[in-house]
Amino acid sequence: MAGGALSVLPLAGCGPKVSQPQPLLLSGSDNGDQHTLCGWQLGQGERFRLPVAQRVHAPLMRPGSNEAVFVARRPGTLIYVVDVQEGIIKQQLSAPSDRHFYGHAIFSSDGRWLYVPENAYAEQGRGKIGVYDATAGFQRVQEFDLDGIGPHQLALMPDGFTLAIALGGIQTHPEHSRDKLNLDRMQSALLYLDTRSGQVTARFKAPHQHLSLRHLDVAKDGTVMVGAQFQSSANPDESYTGPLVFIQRGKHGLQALQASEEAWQAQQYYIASVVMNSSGTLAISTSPRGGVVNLWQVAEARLLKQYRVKDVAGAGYLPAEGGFVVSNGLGQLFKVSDELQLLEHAAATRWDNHLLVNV
Amino acid sequence: MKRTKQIPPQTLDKSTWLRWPLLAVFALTLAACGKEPAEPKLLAHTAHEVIVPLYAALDAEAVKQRELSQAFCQAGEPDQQQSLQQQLQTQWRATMSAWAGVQPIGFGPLEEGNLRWKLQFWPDRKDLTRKKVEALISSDDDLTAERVASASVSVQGLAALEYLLFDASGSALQRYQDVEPVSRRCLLLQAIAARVQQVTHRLLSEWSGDINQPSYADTFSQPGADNDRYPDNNASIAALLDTLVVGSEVVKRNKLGIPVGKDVGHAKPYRLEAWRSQHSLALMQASVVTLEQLYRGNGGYGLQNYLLEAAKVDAALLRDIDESFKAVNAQFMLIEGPLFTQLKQPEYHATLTELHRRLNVLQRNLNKLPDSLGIKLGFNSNDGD
Repeated sequence: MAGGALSVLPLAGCGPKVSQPQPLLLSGSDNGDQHTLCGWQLGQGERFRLPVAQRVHAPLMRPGSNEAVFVARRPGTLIYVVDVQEGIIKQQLSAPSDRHFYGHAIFSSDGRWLYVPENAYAEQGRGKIGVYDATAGFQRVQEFDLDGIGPHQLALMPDGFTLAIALGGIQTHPEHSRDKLNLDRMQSALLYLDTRSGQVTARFKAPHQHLSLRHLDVAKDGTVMVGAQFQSSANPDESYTGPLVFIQRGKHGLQALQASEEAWQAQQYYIASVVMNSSGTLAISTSPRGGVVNLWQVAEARLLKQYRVKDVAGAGYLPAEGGFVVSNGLGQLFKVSDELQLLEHAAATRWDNHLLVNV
Repeated sequence: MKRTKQIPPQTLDKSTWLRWPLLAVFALTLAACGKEPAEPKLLAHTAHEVIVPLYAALDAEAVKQRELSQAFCQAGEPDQQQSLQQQLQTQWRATMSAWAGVQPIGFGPLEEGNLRWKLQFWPDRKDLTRKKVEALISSDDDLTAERVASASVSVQGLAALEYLLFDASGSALQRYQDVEPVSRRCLLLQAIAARVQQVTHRLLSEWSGDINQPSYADTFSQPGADNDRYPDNNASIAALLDTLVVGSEVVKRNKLGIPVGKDVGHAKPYRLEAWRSQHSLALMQASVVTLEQLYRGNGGYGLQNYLLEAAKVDAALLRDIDESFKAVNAQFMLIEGPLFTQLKQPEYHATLTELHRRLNVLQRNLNKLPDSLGIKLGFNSNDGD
């Protein structure tokens, strides 16, 4: 199937010449009831669509290679290693017994180590980071304990050895589907972990007991942006109208981005993705429940624009264009800058939560 | 074809024979109509005969509201002012009911242009409306429709007008009178009413189109590969189903469930939509009327026909939906407003709880439709991580 798609590519040469190859977008997608891994080249369309057994969450590229890794979302137990040139699944990794993944992972900058958040659900849901050696067939070689529950998205800091980890704080168990088991004692935080020692070196608590820090991004200058989800089911009478996106720098605590209560309310207390541009000056956050995309000015921690996009979740940065790209469950891709522009539409495709732009 | 067979042979006199070619053409046309794809018929009817008239009604009420707010502010005598304020209150209720009829429609320029909150900021748990309306009146800003358009959504729209017309303190006539040479409260009232009508006019013209732009009604009802928003019939039908599923959920949960609470002791009257004007019950009904029109087709080929005849959805489910609409409407007949005071009265609370139960049945039944058509709604919004 993938080969078929590739064999069509030379035909594209008959059309207008494209001076620069357009970025390849990677995302999980559902088509009917089938989970797939998708590669989509802007301007040219689908490069590959690979059916898989488990629904994946966030893709990432292995530095210095053509390999992408798609991690199954909770309570999934598989990681798919894909050759994005060939459009084939090269390898499939399984979680250790009594563990499942959270849909996210990150590589070391040399592309050797893959760090994967795991749920040790037989140990009261302790959060772990599994370490896999990509040069040894992704053998699992080590694990780090986080002394906390629900590690979700993570990123490598510019120093090359520190991981920033969003600890969601919510305990789940595969036998209880995706039910949240500990809302009365949630302890969400932004953690920093030194991969050389495996020790947690800093821990910044979420500013509200029922705020779950879930997604993050890191700029070149080490600014970390975190997106939160409010667990309103904890207490239906409790309402929260405060901030959902935070910045953390150096030893300073979490700093909330500034927006009106109305603007926060429009996000329905739920952030799916946060992405900064490479210089860390601009950022976007997406909220599928509210159907909004926020464009942020990072240095002043200020909301520039709020756009309406139904079921929006995936987000990435397009360096050549100086803008962002977002995807949604209707198969649409939009460019987000000082205006919102529909780029493309993928038929019969529901783009899943996260998007990766590979340039 | 059936029709030609039904003609008794004895009626086929000479003149009938002369008409035969016409009858044949008629029969062929009928056959062709039978084969006309159901989706375009459903979508065109829904857009042009159900949705556009709702926007036209809203805009017409907003025009009257704008004019009446000017008349109220130009009135010289206190008696005249009082009478015009009452007329304006009645007009606001009519505009708001027309808005509640549009409110469930979850697609189109209302969503894509981010205009929903510009017409109604709701829910407003912390009464930002009062705070921001009073702050704007106290400011030095020019109170024009343009200023309102650039202000917080909580001072735009019908909820801000409600505050200015119904709030025990915010609407008091002496507060309209005690400022010379001109009442800033009145300037703001007129500016908001003008702004509301700008938005309703824009919504209507985008839905119905003009020389410069194709209508959204056509965009919605003519799916195709070159239509980015609706690349296939299912995309349009999904938008329609999403409106039924989410619209009924909003009525059930936000308009009724949250204010009613789990028992009378937990009733929250200030969480009602339009609690200041005590118009909540009518708004709930207006939204349900729209949901039912979208489902039944308002006298033409609607979703119900399509589901039964073309999509071959299980007839039992369609019967359940039919009955649950009827059950909700029957329960509405037992309730008299205003909900604001009834919520706290045990004898009414049971009636409202029963309405909530029936709305829940309706919502659950509508929620079965997407699956029955193989359509999934709200992929990321309902099932994120």
